[in-house]
Amino acid sequence: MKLDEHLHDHHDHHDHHDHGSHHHGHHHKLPESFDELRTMAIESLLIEKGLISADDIDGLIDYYVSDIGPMNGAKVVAKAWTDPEFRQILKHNGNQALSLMGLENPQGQLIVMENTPDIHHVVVCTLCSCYPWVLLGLPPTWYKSTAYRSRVVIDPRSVLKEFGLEVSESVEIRVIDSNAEVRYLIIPERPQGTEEMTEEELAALVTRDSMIGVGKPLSPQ
Amino acid sequence: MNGIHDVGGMDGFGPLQREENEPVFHACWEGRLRSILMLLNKKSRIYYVDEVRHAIERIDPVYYMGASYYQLWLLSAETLLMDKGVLTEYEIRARMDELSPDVTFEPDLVRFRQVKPCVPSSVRKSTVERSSGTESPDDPIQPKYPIGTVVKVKVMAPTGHTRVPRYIRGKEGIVEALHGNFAMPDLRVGTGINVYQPVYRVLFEARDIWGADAFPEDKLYIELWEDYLELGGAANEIG
Repeated sequence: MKLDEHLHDHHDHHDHHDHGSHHHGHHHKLPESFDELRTMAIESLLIEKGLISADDIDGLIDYYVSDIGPMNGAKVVAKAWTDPEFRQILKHNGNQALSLMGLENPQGQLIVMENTPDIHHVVVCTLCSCYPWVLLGLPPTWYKSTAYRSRVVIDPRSVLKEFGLEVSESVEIRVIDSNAEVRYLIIPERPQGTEEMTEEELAALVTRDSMIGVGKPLSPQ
Repeated sequence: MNGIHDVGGMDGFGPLQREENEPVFHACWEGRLRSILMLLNKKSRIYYVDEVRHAIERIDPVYYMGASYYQLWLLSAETLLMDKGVLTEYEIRARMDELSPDVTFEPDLVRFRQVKPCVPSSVRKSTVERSSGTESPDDPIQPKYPIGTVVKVKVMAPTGHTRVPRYIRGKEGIVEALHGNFAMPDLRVGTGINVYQPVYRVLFEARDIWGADAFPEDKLYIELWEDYLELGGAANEIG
């Protein structure tokens, strides 16, 4: 389901509920921490004031856990690798390309940056945690950490090395500090030996880290 | 503001810590909190995301560094909800007591769990001065700096919210792309007015930012609103 649908009234979430654990009955669960109790209190008050509903919250949690994730970005990358026309649209108007795939980007504009044999891109948000979560899912903790945010702008080569990615001295690194309402997806280089693979097989090689620029796609073997 | 959040280029945070197969949320309340905030922002339109960011930036530095990501979100959310008159501390406390009558919990880093007000200044401005832009998102705007222009990020020290990190102020780069017009966060948070301005993607040489300690060929992109920039290069030195 798209985010917009979660933000509109009166749709039925029920056939979407397949996780069980955190639905219905959360009000009866005993809190285990200050933060949990305080969140429960705020939720309960906001529901009472008619500002939000428990169903809306359940629906959004499903969206975050199930509907978004790196599988979406991987499909976009695989299609860009195999379909030159789509690749052109994607480079020209990222949001339009997403809508062709039934995806949406509620976070302003999507810009794709292509890695080449000469240029390697890597994305960070030094001020907070901006991240293309429709395509990659919510960011991992390391992406939001002060360690990553402080270092990758000043010393990208050493940071990438910690991810196991050695970037040759002949390759230029371009760090993208994503701090406005624009979200960046990196199109990694297509691995060699994948000429015969289908879009679906290719998508399985595209990792989250390769779309942030801290990794490479898996190799076909 | 020159806040604790503005960490680009700082040392001392150690190597990266990565978690294998990290779950989307580490605890149930994190998912509920995130969803509540999304609904308040996009559906009830109680506040803008820029206001959340500014509240996080004003969190006591000790708590900012020591708390988890969603602990920061929780503190900023409750602060905004109280600032906007939606909830009171008394109401929240009373509801906490009702939900957990037998057990009370102490917050982590309790002495530092607070959002601080901006300290007023008799000299510094709270926001960068507005020189362009329109109050309607659809008005056409002629961008001041065409692609290829050498621009300089203004040297500035506003006390309020801004999206210009310290490490890029005073540096020169080249406009590589225009992203269209977006509401300027500084003015939205500082004055409550939406002023739409062109946002530029500007390319900098890593060595222009960090000096000889950067790898010679490396570069950095960052997006900058029009009023964060001035004309750079020789053109600015004539006269």
